[in-house]
Amino acid sequence: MPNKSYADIWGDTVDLKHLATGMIIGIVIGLGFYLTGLTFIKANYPKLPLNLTTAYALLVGIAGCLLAAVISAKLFPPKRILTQGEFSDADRIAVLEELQIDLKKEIEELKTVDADVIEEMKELQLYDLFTGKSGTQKEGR
Amino acid sequence: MEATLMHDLIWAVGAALAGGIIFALIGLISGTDETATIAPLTLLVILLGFPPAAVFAWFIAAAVSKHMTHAIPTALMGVPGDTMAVPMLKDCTILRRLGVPHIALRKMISGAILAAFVALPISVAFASLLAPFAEQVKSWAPIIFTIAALIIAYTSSGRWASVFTLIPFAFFIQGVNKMAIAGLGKGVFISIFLGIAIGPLFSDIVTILSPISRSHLLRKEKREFWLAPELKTWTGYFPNPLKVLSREQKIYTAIAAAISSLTFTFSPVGMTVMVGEIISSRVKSMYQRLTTSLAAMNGVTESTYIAETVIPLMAFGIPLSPMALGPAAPLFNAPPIYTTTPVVHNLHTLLAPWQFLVYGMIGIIVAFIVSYPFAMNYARKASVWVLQVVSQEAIISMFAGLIVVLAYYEAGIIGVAISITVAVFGGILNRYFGIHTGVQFMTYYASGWLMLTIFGIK
Repeated sequence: MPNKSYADIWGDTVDLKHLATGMIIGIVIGLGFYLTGLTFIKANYPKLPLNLTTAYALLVGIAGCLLAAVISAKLFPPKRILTQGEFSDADRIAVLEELQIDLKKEIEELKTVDADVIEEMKELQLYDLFTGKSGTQKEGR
Repeated sequence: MEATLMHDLIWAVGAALAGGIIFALIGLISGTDETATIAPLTLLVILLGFPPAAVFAWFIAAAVSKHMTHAIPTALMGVPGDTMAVPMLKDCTILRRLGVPHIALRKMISGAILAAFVALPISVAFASLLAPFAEQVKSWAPIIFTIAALIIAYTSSGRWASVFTLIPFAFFIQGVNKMAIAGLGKGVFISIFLGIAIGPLFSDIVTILSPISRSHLLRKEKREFWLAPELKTWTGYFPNPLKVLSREQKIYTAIAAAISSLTFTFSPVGMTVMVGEIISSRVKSMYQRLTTSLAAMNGVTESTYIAETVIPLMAFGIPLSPMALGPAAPLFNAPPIYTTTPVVHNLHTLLAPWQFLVYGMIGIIVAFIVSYPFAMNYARKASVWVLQVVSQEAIISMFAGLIVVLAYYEAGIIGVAISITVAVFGGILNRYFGIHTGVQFMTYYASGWLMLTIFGIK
């Protein structure tokens, strides 16, 4: 394929070649561990009841799956871009405008709100925003 | 007697610790499906021979812990932690854009833990009330499953498509099971269950393999995640959830949790949306409205997790709720250790009501101690680590291995074949026609009786 072949599989982005290799790694190591574990336990602990023998082999198999996940994580880096945002008062005001918040109604309603919630809002510097103070002062409206 | 109690208590605490820690980490990975993650590992714990008390404590701790940390991607990145977090995305996004995503997270997980403590005793009490009807319910089980399958099908997003495919899907499942009987001399459960759970992954794989449909899933660039900046405003390690919530939030969350504990057969997502709507219409002032509805909605998803598991399990022993058919399914049916047919032999028969309460509480408390401070303190660091280190390829690699190993464990290569067959067809029905896994599991439970009654196939 000419371009990078990204695709959305099971809710997140993968490289298809990486995915195919990863699945093979998972199945081969997982099943390999299970079968090896089973043979080993059967050979060394022949007196163990059958259901426990297979259950312990299963545990070995699961350990193999975990190992496969670690190997795949080392081999294939995530196909994600991490962006970190900053906030500014202008952003906050833009949100209020976008949501068409009626500040007059908010001011009325805030009078019924408990004091501890008001305190919480003040700590977060949201109180001025909803009472319209930060908007008028900093935006000069 | 006392020795057994000590033995059970130690096992329960140990299992809860393991479940709590493992699922606190899994919860960080956004979009991990509850059924695909909790069910296989719970199955493993049962097959390894953990005592019933430990199995139950493990499950509750796992569910509560995962529920706690999956709020992190939901609040900080606007990516749903799992399917039940979807209704909360809108409010989270607004708070994030107002610059206070950490408040959304804190209100959510504090609501959740409060709801967990409310939901468990109510669920146990309600289950005790329903228990006298257990014999009748059990003897009518096949018919109840069929009716429930019809209702779930009709209310699913597939609507009439789900109703229409109910009998064909039952025919398909029993047909696949007959292949197992022909090849092994016994039917299978684990392989079919895993096939249904992993279906969406396989529908994506089939979609990408076909040149006709490939373009639906292809993309040119990497996926972009937007993470909120660090905003720690409190000191200490172990915050008190009751102080995080305001008086009104505590009341609404507790009431919503209590009521939703009683509606154990309804859809958790539906309940969550409804509670969100009710609170939005009652609570005044935008900030208070957003934070209260988030606390209560996340409380409701938590309480439905617990109630939908505990009530059918304790009262009837047969899986009669979306949760019992999904993540909690192995608690009901994990042959050869737990069975529902021909006789019910699972946690329903192995644990007394007080044990459900005690070991469930151990699960909640351990998950609380493990995950709550973790989510409060390290939410951002943990998200960055997951986003930068744990690739989706690694996750799918692990699950591909897990499914093959578990299916092979049950029925050898035939089990693997059955899992993949069911996954391909079930996954396509799910992804393209809205016939979700709940409908498929319920149809599975109804299928034996349906085939016998309609076609005389035993």
